[in-house]
Amino acid sequence: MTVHPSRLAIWLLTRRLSTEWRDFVVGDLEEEFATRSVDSPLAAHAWFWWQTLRCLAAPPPVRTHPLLNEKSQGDSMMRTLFADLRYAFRAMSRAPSFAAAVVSVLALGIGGNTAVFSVVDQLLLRPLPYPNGDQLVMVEESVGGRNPHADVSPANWLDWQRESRTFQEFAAWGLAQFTLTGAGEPRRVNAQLVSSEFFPLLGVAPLLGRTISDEDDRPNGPRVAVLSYRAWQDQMGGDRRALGRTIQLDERPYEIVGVMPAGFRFVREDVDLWTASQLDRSRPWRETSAGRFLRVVGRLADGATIGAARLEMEGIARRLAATYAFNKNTSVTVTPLREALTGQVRTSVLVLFAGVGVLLAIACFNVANMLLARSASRQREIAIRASLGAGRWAIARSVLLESLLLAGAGGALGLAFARWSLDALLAVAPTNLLGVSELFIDRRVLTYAFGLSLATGAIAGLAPTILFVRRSMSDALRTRGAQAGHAPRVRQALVVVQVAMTVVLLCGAGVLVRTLIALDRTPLGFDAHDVLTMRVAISPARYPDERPRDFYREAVTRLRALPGVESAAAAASLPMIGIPRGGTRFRQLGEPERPVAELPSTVVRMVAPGYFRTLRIPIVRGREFTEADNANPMAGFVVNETFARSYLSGRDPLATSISVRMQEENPYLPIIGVVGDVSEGSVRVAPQPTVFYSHGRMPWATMTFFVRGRQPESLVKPVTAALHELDPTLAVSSVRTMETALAESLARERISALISTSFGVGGLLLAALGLYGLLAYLVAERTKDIGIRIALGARLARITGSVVAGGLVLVAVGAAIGIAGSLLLLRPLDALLFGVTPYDLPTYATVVLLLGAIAVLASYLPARRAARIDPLTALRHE
Amino acid sequence: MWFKRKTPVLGDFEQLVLLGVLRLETEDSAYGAAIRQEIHARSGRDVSINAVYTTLDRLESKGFLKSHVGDPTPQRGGRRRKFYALRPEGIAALRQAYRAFTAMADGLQDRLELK
Repeated sequence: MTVHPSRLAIWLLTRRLSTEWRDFVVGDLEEEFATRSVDSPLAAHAWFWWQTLRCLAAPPPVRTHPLLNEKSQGDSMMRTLFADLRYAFRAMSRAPSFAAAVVSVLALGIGGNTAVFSVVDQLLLRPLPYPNGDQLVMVEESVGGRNPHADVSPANWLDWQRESRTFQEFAAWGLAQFTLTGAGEPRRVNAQLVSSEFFPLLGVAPLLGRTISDEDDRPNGPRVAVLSYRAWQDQMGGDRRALGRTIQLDERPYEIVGVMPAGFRFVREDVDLWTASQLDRSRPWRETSAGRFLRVVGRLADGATIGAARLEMEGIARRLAATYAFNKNTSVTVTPLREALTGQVRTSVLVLFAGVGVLLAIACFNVANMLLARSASRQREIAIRASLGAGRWAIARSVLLESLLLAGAGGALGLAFARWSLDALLAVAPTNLLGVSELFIDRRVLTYAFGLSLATGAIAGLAPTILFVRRSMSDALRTRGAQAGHAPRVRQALVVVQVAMTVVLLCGAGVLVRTLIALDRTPLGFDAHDVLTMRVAISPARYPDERPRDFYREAVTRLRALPGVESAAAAASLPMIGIPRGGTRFRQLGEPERPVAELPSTVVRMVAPGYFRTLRIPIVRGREFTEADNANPMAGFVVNETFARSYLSGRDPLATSISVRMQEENPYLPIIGVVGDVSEGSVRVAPQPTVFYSHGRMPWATMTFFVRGRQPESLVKPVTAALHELDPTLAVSSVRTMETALAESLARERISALISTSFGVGGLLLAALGLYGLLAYLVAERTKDIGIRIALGARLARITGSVVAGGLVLVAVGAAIGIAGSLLLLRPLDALLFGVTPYDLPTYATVVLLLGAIAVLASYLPARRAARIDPLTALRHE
Repeated sequence: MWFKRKTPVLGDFEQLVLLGVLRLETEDSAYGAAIRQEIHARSGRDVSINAVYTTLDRLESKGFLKSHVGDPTPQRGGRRRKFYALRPEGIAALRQAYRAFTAMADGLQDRLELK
């Protein structure tokens, strides 16, 4: 294989060399490169670049023969540019530690920004992975004004389909889990049950085979499945012959008819397959007890706006509400798909983006300050250049170029930093947290980083450049390093702004950290320590009717007998984070009859005996379910304190009977116990009225086990072994301790607190550096002054005192502006906070004290140094 | 310049380049890369191509060298070579430099440890 020299190097050479020399020089280099690359391509490349750089620095001269005058304008511009670049390089290499400081400050700012941008880009900016994805919207029912994001009744979905003009089509979908058998270990798979409109509506073609057809989506139609690319790879080894094969889902055969392309997903990342929902569209759904259980995605008609769609759908909903009792008090919520997908993280991500923006701004100000300080010390050099005939623009250009060069280096380093922090972010963030499975730096992100570096360089270099242009050169010549006249005002302003921004950043980080602490300290209502949990699914085909109850009773009995197990129980979902279906209507015995739509509603949790004991949820009154209750008909209900308080105030709960609309027949049964509250969804949310329903009455196939014992991790093996002994086809998933499960649900808060704290610390560091740099510089300028004062008998303490006071004034002004800014700017954080407001006095006070302490230190150190100078040295000082 | 030398004095790098041309011109291969390699191989000085061409150009404008442009060849990406050859003035200048050097060094071989 022939090796070629770098195209970039050749391009640079052809730009730089005059036409007169281009062929000869480049040709010579290529020729020698060819011979050298035989021995070692690497050495040849190094050699080629070295030669290129030297040619770029000093190319052979252009002949100014009158007949051969080819010198073009481009060449001369390139020449000036290169001359300036050379000058900037030389200037920087004379002050390497200055360059290193600036580059690392900029790398921090640009890198952090680039990393967060790649998240923002993927979540909010990039087009959705469907053709005309902006036409896709989620359509949900809004029930009684309390729940605007309820599921949809099939009847309403079909009526929308018929009546709407602003939509091309609606498709229904839902989530399901199956146990996949017949292909190795029994495995739980995630599926989406979809109507036949689903795939055509999204507009994504399958990679292989076909998608769900109208034939498939019919009651008792053929059982077919479309695999995700990942499932096809993992389960079928990416074999094209998988099409037509049969897999067992919950012990029923399904034919594989298609495979979707890699990267295709809808709402969830972890879907393995799609099957037809096979809804009976002719059934009078409003009269059944099925209620609302579908989710609906729609595609807007061409040219229809989201506002028009909302208006039309609300009109349709009003008509339906007037016609059917079932639809009373319901409306429709229309949300663009992108918003529905990113709703949860949108605020956090935008807050993050604002945070890194501020950090970068601080970095910019810091660098501007450093450049100013340096330009002050370079004034003589610049004055000499000016007196030798360099124009103002030429000098300003070289300063600007230097700043751009520094920003470019900072950007390159920042990219490496961004790459690293994205990896770190993905490592700490659990799946589905960000809604993206991978974060990468591609051309878009690179372009952003490049543009950002350029802008940063220009902004940071702006103040020094303007000052140069405006300065009168004779002034500069008169100035002797010691009394650089222009800078202090501007530099003080820069420090004030920097302090102000740091205050905003730190206050924001502070309230987020306090939120995390508050969340950690909020009592959960149950004891999460030493509990192992897992999801277990039995095949409905194997356990028909009420047999699951017997299975779970037997399983729990066996688990309790294991050594080291204190207690064990089963329930339909995890407490707090396993979100149950809310909005179940109930009646109280003795109350007047009311239509269903006007009945009060409650959360229902299905639990088996031993649940409250195992999770140590206190029994406030009465008793919990016993084995004897775990039968059909059941003995009664257990409710939580919030339920008793909200609906039974003033009455004895244990003397009340209720009927909960869970099945066709819902007899009135007494309340046998009242238990302590547990939050629903997150500790952020207040506990909901909850009715606990006995598993014996409604035996589900999929349950969550809770096993309490010391060192729950050590129980994993014996517990799964005992379960598989009972039924080898059992799918056991999500095996983890209760504490881990809770930590994952808190992960978002933890990460955003972690990230904003690191921004805060970064900003603090930058502000401290800036403050120190400025004060040290101001003191250095006043060395002579200080010397004179000491020689005249001023006391050390007085001098240091005045310098420190100067620093504190700057910080005080900055902090005041920063506090005002925080009051104005931190309001959007409110949605993320818990137990603390965005205007938290202790946080603000801590931030101001912290900055004050830094200011004292940053001004005391240079002041002490200056005051210790021997007056004679100080007087000679220039 | 307000004064004129009869034969301008050569710098040491100019001497190396002229000698390189002298060595290579008989084979009609006195072009930049070859001269660069010749200097590297014989004197150990790994100079850059731009320095060689800058010097060649200067020597040509001083009238020591003449040049012609060859045909494009595929091995160098279809680019042309520029070949150099000595003019009599170049030979004279080299001769003078050589004489001056040997005359000054005569009898000093022991002290220069050249034996």
